[in-house]
Amino acid sequence: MEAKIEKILLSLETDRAFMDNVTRWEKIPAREGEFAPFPEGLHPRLAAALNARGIDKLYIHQARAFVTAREAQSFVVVTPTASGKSLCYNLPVLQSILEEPARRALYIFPTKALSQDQQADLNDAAVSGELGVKIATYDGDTPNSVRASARETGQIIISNPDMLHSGILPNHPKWIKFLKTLSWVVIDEVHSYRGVFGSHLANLLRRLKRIAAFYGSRPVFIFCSATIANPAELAQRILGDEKVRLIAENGAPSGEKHLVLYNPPLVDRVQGIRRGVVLESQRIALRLLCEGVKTIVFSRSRIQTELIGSYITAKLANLYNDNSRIRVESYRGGYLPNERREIEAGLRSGAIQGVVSTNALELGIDIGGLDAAVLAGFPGSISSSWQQAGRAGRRQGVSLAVMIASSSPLDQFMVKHPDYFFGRPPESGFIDPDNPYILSDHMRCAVFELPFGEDEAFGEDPLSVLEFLEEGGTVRKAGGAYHWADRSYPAEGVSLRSASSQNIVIIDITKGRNAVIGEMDRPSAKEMLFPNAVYLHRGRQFMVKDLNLEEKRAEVEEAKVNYYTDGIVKRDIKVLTRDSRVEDSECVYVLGDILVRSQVTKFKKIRYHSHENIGYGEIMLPEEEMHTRSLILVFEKTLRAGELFTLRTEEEKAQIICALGCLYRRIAPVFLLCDPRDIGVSERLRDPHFEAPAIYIFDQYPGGTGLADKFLEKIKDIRGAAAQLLLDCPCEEGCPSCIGPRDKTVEITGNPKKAITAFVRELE
Amino acid sequence: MASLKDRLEALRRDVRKEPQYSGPPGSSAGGGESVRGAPEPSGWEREGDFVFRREQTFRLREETLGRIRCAADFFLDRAEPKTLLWYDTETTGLSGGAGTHVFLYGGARIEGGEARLTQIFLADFPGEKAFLSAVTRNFAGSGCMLSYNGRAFDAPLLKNRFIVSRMSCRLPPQFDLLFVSRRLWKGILPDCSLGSVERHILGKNRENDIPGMLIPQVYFDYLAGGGSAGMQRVASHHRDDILSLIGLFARFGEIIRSPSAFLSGKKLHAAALGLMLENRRPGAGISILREAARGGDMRALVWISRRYKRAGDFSAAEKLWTALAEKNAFAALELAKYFEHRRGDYEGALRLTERLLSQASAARADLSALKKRRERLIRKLSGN
Repeated sequence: MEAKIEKILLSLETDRAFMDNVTRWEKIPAREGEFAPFPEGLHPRLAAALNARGIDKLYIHQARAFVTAREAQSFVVVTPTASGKSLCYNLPVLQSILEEPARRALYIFPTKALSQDQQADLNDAAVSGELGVKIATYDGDTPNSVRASARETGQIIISNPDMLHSGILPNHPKWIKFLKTLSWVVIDEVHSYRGVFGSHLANLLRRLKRIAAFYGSRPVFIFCSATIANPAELAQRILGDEKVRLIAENGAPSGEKHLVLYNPPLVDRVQGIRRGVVLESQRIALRLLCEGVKTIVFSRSRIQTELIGSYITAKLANLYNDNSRIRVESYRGGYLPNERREIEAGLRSGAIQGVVSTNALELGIDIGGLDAAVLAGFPGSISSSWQQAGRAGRRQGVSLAVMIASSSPLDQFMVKHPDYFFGRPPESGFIDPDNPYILSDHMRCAVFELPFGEDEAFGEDPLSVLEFLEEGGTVRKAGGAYHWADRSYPAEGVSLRSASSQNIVIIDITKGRNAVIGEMDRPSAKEMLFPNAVYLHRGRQFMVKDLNLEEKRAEVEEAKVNYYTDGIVKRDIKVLTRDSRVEDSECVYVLGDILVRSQVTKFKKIRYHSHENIGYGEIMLPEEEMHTRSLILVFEKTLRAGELFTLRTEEEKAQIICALGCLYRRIAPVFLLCDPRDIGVSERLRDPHFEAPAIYIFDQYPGGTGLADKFLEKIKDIRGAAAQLLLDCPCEEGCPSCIGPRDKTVEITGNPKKAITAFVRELE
Repeated sequence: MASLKDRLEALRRDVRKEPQYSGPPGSSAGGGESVRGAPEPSGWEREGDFVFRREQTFRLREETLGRIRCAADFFLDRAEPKTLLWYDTETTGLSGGAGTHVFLYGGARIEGGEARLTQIFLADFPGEKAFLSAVTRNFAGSGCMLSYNGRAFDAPLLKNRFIVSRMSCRLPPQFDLLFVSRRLWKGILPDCSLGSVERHILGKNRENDIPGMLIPQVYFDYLAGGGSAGMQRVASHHRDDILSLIGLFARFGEIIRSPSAFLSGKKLHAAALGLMLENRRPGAGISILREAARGGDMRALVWISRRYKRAGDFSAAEKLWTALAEKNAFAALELAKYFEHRRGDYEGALRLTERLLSQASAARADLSALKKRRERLIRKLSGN
């Protein structure tokens, strides 16, 4: 293995054509492990179990985690990939259960897949050491027949936030035995709880602590986080009042890593068009795979995952036919659980040499050691980049990660500013647990779970929320407490994952098969599963025959066509409130609520490989409505930006405002730690509400998660970075890396780059 | 950032109120902490703060009492009828969970020649502890609680309420009439709800009955000051439900005592009745099962084949299995076992197993057992 990766490194380093596109080749040297002896008091049976697994000492962070946990102190431990994180919580938890078998622990993993993986790991420990600790998984896939025994006898319950939310907490009387002696709550992958999901988790923990207190228990919380800028702050925000201690040092050894930033070559210098990220990452992955290097490709979207996966497989078939013995699979959310398990197992066993995945595999699912990672596009945040790059590499030996920039301005910014990329601490995770939508939803659930006393704590101002709920009629105040007074089961209507809790089931009806092949959330379904869409699933093509939103099903039929499809979304915005207004010397900033209506009206047909547009189709689907929070940048005449703006021709105005929106959209995710898809940007040359040019920046989640507010806080940084991106860009008339390529169909005479550059220069 | 209060204000404008049940006459708006009264002035006594109780007695005919005794003998190990308690609850929702409240409980027992029904009503949430104490007093001392779907619904819900109120409680053993109804009438009646069974089996037709679906909303309207007329209808509905439970239990006794009277006209599953009798009183169901088998009833035929097998009469069993194997998975499997283990006909066994596997209806556990069987057979065949 070592030899293969060394060989490919050498061949890449000496390949002029490859190296010409490399903007930085960063070598991160191997690191020695730092160890500590078994902590004092470690249960002899636990020590014996570790010895049996060939472990006779701990990494320093594992030892510190053990000691901290023994002090009944909640903590967060920072655990990069392959740092032996499971022992950080398994050791103290198992120790505590061995000492007092009545104690219980709850492990929360962000996804079902992760929890299954974890159970395999724990069973290993429990069985090999014959510790006799009962471990049970309790999630949506747990059969009814074993649920009761899991509740009654499971000493460690492994679950996920969704199950805690809609299964465990609302039915807490059934869990009385477990909750009475709940001593530990482990939250793994805490860095993945950012934004909406994290705000939900924080409220979920408020509910859990409340119910635990009812049964007289006060669990200690253990958080594990990948490397982000503010693990302690994030864990603290999630846990609320209770103090969270940080364990930041890491004693795990790591092998030598090579991280390469790669910018695909220009194919049209004038327009700034580069070779596409799909084709380029496919090419590089293929090169690695053919040299026998186990490779993972991370793509930015489900469609890309399927495209890259099928291109690689097709190429392999051409090159080697049956004797190639290289198997590559695609992997993404929306596959059925057993399909995913099979791929994970294949990667571990070595039956599968390559995998193309969305960020679904970024999290700690055990897929064994891989040698190389190809990032098809900047994943949107620096911490995600490190996470994904970290998927390649073991504790020893050399590994390679290549990040291939797409033509998006954000990618171009990163690849052209390697110092920025390597020099910057990874982004922060932020949440807004008092987001009124999220908070009031969880308060409904909390009142359902137990009547709410007037003096009880829950977030910043529980009484306001309770009064609000009482007004709505779902909660009744009586005898100094608020009671649930509605026939519904509130957790059912609250999804932790996205705005819409409804999933569309995808059914393959080819030749009367009627088999479920996957699921997709409703908004995505409207964009990917509209009638006549080409739906790709594990490299197979399907044509969508019917999308029934009411019955939540899409019927697809296997098809062979030479194109895929992409829905075009039309959007319309209405201002509902103006909550605050500030201004600086440049423009006015308004924070408020807006109503966004969007509709998928048309789709493009795009030919495989060449990616050229070969036609359009109509889509007839109802529009989606979303009430959300927005920051509106208003260019009022009296302030500098507005004043400069009025001096421009109509044509230049249009160019400038589009360019600014484009720049903000692409640069903001770095500062807000969100996926670019979490924020929407809409530019209005003459906004009917403000009667001035305006740019709307809004949260793509109903009610908002604080992104709009955060954007305002960071406005100086964002504006600075946007200006720098623009001024540094060598293109002549706008390119995909800064303000977007010039739209030839609109036949504008002037050069948009000139207009925006002059505008930004004058503003500075 | 706007304060939470302001942002809630914005949300408020967004709340869509569900249509209200246009309920009892004289309803008044508002809510607040007003003290609620009894559902109806007459018949209800104050039991404690926010808790009311009503006792009613109903004469039972001599023959009804006899049938109840017969059913208790058969289903409940000769339990004394006076130790039995028929009960039901009305709740604020059907989905269960810690936030579903029980606001009306009724328990009926037999005293002398009468059914004595106690209804306990929770007039507002702060009275829950007193309500539950009254409920506990009502079921204390009963040897068995009889209900309709109580095992899955009422009993767990009551347990929840006790836990949430920090009260300990141990419910007496439960007997669920729904289970018996399902066996006898599933597929024959449109459904096995108490309403259907009452209409079709007991021949009762209620007038002016309130649909169960509306009950939670009536209670919420009542809490909100909507008057007590709606609640009165709920209480009557609840009383009738419990009386039907007693009637149904008596009907079971009648069926057990003289099954033949119920067998004509396909008004119940004869084979199910036969099996029920046979399970509790071996020998008592044979003639019914034989008759049902002659009529081609699959369950009865399967039962007969098992009887042959147990008696070691494999030639008779094989004949029956062969005849049934086309349509019945159990028979096909038995035949496959017989081919494999008794006759050593692995090919025949494999053929049957393959066919079973191709029928997609099998449950997952069965599938894996079938796959194992297939593998074993293939191994045995290739070993030969």
